[in-house]
Amino acid sequence: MEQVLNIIFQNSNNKESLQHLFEFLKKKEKIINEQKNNLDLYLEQLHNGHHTLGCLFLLAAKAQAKSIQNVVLIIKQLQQFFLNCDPYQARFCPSKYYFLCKRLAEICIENSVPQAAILPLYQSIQKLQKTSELTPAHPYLMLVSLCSKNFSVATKVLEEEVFEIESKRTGLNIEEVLLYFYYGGLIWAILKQYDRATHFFELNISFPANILSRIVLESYKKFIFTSILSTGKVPVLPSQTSHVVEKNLRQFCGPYLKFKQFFENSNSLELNELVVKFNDVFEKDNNLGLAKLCIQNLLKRGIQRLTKTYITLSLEFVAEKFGLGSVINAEFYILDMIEKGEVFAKIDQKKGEISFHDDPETYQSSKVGIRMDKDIQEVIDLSNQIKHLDERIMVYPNYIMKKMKEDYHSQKKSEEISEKKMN
Amino acid sequence: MTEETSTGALEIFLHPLVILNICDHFTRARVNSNKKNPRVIGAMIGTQNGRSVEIHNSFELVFTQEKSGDDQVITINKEYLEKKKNRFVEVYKNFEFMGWYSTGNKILKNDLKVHESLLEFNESPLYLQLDPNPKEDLKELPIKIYESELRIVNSKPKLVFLHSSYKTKSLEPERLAVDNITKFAGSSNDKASKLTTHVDPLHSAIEMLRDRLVIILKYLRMVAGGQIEGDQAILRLCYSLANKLPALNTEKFLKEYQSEYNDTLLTTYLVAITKGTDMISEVIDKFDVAFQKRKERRRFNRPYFMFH
Repeated sequence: MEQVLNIIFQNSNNKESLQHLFEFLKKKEKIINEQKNNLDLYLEQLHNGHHTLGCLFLLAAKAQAKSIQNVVLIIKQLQQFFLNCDPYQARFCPSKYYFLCKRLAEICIENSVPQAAILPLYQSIQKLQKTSELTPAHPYLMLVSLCSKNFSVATKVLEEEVFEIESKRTGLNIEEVLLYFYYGGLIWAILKQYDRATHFFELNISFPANILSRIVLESYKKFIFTSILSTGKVPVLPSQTSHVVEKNLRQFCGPYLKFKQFFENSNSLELNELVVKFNDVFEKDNNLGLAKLCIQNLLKRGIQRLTKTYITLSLEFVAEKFGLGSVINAEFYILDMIEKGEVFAKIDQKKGEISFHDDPETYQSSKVGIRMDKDIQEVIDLSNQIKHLDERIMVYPNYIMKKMKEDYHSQKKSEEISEKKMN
Repeated sequence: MTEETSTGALEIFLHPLVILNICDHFTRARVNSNKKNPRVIGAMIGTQNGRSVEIHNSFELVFTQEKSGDDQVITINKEYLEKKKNRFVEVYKNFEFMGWYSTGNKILKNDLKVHESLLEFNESPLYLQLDPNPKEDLKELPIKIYESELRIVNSKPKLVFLHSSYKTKSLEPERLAVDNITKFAGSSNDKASKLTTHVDPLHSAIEMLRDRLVIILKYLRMVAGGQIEGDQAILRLCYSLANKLPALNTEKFLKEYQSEYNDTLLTTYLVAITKGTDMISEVIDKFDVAFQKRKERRRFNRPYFMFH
């Protein structure tokens, strides 16, 4: 073991010898793992910044243990590690690096201090991430943020769009990808940004898949609710959703599909009954809160629909139509909506009437112009990225072969059909 | 070989059809033979009225290349030339054999011999040379036309090539065709679309206008600052220029301008999004073809769960 330490000291300074160091450490992994109790002594001798690769191996060996004796110590060690580690050295062994991230998250959650892991995980992502890439540390950061209910760091990470995934280098697997979008969607829903939450859940549903995954199912259930809350209706599943998901939705999400149906018929009584009936199902999936929010949303959508048909309306009518009880309730409710900016109207208390206006925003200011300029630039950048993707896939030999086969088959079929017609 | 210019006895007019034909011939030869710069040879036909020569059309010739010593000796298949020429003459009764063309950028020794062999078809044929790889900043067409003149060198009659100038002339349909090609084929730059080709000249014109206004403004400022003595004529011109412009700084105008600007931006935004969505759906289709095994999907009857 002393030998190992010496070699770490010698080789960590020189960039060329790091590769040798890495291979040496891999061979000596067993010896390192056997040292369980003495690792702390050795760790004290090494410096996180200069001897990152060595520290990585030792810490990984320590973190492998299922039960940790001195929790505070290991959390502190891992925090220090992520704060000071050198990305160049850490790149040699990304699998151990992300294993450490995962263990840090797990240890902190088990010991009820999830907030201790937020900052180190955020630093770990920043150090090893190439631009707009998804790393295995992302879902753990989201999980830890959810557990600690502290979303400021997580939103920063969520706002950066993720375009690239390189599973060979980072050791990312599909479970982590799905979890990232699921947790991310949950965080957006908690922050009431329902359109972004819908987007994340939709991504999960439409991943190419051959097998149904529980994460995808849960994502679909939440997708129904968040899309209702953001746009008032559930969109059709995107065409690239795999058949496996579509076929099995009815089997496993029955109550949710009924909820969707009743919402579309905007029948609030039936909807209430449904929620009461399936209370257990919704509660088990932790969706009861979302379901109740949706019912409230139904009322709001109803009033917004009224703006399309009526210019003035009596408060009694509104109260009757939506079962709000008294006129005072209706007035209170609509006043609330006006303040939030969900509807544009004036209430005349003497006559007991509401008159609806048009949206006073004319979108003609220079602020709008500047904002649109920025948005157009973003769209153009995105289109360029897609064009690169398009070009990459077009020259992929697999694609060319399959395309030729398909063309050949379709040509043959059309020939057969024309022969049949002639005969 | 040094090139001399001719005395300008002939007025040569070249039609764009000939240029396109030659380019097409060269491109095809390059694709078919995998060489980078194959040499193509063909004949040109047209009319000659006194001193003005018009080259209307061209066709390809069959030729053989043999190596004798260091150079390539080119022999043209004359039967083929006869046959093709007669076919053209049947359709276009006025046209005659005017000369021949080839690709390249220098005159080679053997070109003279080829030229001599064509003397039986026309007493003084023209030789057109097209450079298929011109320099990028060349502003004219990379085409040179040579006439031949019989001179006596060392008491032997010898043919010499003389560089002559030419102009392009196009009929109405030719002009339309060339216009269309420049619009649609465009350059290899994908960013050029019909809109940008329309807007780009406007943009450069406005930039030029702006540059000139900046100069005028600088001059006026210097006169006001007393650094230059103002010339009354120039100042009068500036004054009349300023009077011609309508008053443009009212609030009403700014509002209208802003709202029109926002509308245009909105349309551009919509277009960009539509194009983007179209591209995404194409990528998804291709991905489907490449990676999804369609036949295997139909076999699933029961779901399989992933255990986490």
